[in-house]
Amino acid sequence: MSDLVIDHASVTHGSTLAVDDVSLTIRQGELVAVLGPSGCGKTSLLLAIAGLLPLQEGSISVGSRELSRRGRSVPPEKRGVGWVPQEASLFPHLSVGENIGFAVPRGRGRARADRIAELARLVGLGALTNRAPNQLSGGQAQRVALARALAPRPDVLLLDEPFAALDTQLRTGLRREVAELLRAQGTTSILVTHDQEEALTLADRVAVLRDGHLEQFGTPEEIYQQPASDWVAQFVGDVVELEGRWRAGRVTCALGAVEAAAVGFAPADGDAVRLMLRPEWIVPRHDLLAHAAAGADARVASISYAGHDAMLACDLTAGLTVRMRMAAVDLPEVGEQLRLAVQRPGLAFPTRAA
Amino acid sequence: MTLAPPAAAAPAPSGAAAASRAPGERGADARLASRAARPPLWLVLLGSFAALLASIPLVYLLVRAGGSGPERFVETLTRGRVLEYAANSLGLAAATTATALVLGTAVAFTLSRLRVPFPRLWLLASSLPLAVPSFLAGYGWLVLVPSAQGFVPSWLLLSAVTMPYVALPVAAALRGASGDLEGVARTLGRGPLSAFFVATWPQVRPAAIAGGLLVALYALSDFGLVAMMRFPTLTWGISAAYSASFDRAQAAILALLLVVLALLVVLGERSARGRVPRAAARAVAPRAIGRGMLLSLLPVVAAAPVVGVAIPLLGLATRLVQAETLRELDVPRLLAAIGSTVGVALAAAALAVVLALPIAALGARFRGRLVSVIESAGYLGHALPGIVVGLSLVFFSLAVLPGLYQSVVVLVFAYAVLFMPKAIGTMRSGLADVPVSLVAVARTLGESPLRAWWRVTVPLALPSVGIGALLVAIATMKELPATLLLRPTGIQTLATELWNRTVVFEFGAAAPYAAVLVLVAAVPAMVLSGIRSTAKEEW
Repeated sequence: MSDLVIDHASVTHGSTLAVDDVSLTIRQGELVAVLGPSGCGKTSLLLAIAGLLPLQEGSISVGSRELSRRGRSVPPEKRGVGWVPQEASLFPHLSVGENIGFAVPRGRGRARADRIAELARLVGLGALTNRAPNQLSGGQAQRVALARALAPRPDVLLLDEPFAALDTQLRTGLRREVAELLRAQGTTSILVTHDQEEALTLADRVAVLRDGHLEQFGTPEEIYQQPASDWVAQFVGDVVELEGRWRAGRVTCALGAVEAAAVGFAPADGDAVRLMLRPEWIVPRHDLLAHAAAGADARVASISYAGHDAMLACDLTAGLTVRMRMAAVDLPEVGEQLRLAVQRPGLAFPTRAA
Repeated sequence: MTLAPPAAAAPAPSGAAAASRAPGERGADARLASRAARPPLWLVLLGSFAALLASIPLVYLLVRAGGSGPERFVETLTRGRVLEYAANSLGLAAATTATALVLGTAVAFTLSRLRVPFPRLWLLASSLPLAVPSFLAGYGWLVLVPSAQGFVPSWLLLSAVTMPYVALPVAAALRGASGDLEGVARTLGRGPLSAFFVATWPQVRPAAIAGGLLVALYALSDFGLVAMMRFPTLTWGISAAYSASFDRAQAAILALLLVVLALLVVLGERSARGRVPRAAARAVAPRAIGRGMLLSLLPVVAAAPVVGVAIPLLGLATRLVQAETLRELDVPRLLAAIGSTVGVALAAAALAVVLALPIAALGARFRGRLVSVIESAGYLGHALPGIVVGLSLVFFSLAVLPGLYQSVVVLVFAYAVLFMPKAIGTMRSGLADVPVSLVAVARTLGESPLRAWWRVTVPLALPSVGIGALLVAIATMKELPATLLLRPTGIQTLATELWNRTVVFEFGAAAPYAAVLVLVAAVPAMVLSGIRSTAKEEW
């Protein structure tokens, strides 16, 4: 097994600590997304794995081969780590085919041309190998960059926000295609992104980074349903927050006594806590009430319609407003009375220090 | 003291690239670039060597002039003639700079903000005077008006020839300046003129001042034109002192005075220029103007091309077609002059590029005190008048390398020092435009640092090396004062042949040399400056 092991890695950028004591073990063939807001250190982590930035502390290794530690680093060309930079960075003086074949050794016969053609076909650009990079669309350029990085058969492939510059429709299609391709190749891949949806839909596991720290590392479902902190909860999706009191595994709040799991602390009965729900966990179905044992009457105050689903703001009789998301079929009307229920356990966090 | 690349000499990065790489961007490029803070030792050594060579003329001039002792200094500098020379130089430089600034800004504004017919053509025409060496323009005028002598013709002709140094960068800055700001100022209650001065002028000012610096240095260091028009400035005084007396200390002291004036101009420009952060720019549509307005602007726009190019070429042409001129034509002599002109130009271009390369490579990627000292030394030739470099190298070769005195080696070296800044400017921006991430990609694809440099940086930066070499070659062919001082006996260039005949009023015999000089030096310069200025406008 040649897993990629990042062990207590720290990277400095100028005088600031860009990556602070991050440990990750990425299994061979896995696709991992590194998710975080801009400036969280995710690109620095990527450059450190590529050997383009030195490690301040810790180590990076693939299998039994150590690639980096403080003061010692295998040079980028000898690491077997491929890199697809932001905005593709194709060599402007070389054709598409020459870009793809940059790392394919020149030999006798047609071996090189065949390999280039094979890679071009793989990324769906078979007919374009004679084009110049400036004649490509953004999506095509990213495909070329991907083929170019795959050409030397790297152990690990790094993708730095490869879809950020593309328009929404193209992005959705291309990223699914790229994820399938990477899985089919069995290449260990790390995708850096600040787009939660991208991370959650594509990755086998997601590493959430904040200010250089690893906040959580888990499957997309774990990250979304069981965030390790309220920061992660808020960063990876919409949240509804309600003040309440803890009592025996439930939080009594404006939505009734909602079953909840305490995250990162152990509240005593009667403690004030913050209940955090995802908007789609709240549903207008009182048949669920018996199971959830929580619910409240509400009046639809406004609806923001997004095509596939809709976000409803509902005024509770208690005077609060909660947001709920539901599929956009048979939507209620503004002013309609609903009986709301919470369909799965919520998350309880400590109240914010005043 | 630092002599940074002047805005006009170094081609600005294309607008698209500048816009996509906003300052403070957090991408991989910025991070990789900031990491490489320490230049490799071999590059520093090569750069320091080039910088040392480039500072020989200035350093040796200081040694030589300083050796005279303070009494001699005071005695020389307080002579009536010397004060007159200095006053003439300063007056000419001030008048020329003011005229070029006003005229150049007016031309730039007209061509970029008003709707005039054939804007591209006018822009090209406005860049043409750059290609005509001042003494060639002077020759053309003297052919037609032999009585054109003294301050006024020198001033007007120098202003016409140098106007593009202001007009081109200001036009580019005006296109790059955000028009939205002006609109905002208007909606906040400013009139059109007031809005221009509040919102747009600050964005244009650095370009105008940098252009003004080039004009002032050009006027201070000009020798051929003022000598032809018998206006005694410092350059003329240096030449006279050098050739008239065996006491060359006086020439050295005058040269030092001229250098001090030039450096004062450079320092003044640096403190006046200021820096303006570039706002995101949206182009302003040129405003339509009436026919009357258009006709009244025509003389403004046409003045410099007519005075600096059309009339001199007309004067040249009238002499060239005269039967007498053709009868007197000494073809072998003309061919010899062409051969030596092209030969020294190519040699100078090669040497300048070789010396400039390590300095440009340092400046493109690295910061720090040592790097900026090396860069400043490389740009010294920019502030040193040709006659000063020539004079200093005469002294230097006589004292240190007598075997090389009056050899082609010293002549080519003088050209390389004088015009190296042109090569550094273009090559530096060519190298800096190669994204750091491309080299990093090549590394991750298995290339060693040297191979990555060879496969990525070299092919991408090669065009800028070619342009740098071409700029040096063209400037060399047009050079006069250093050539007059340093040329080996028996070697004549087109410029010296033209000069030798014009000073004795043999206008007919000078005509073929002038015509060939236009063909081999001015025409490529026009094409190049045309390409560069229009290309800059398109992006």
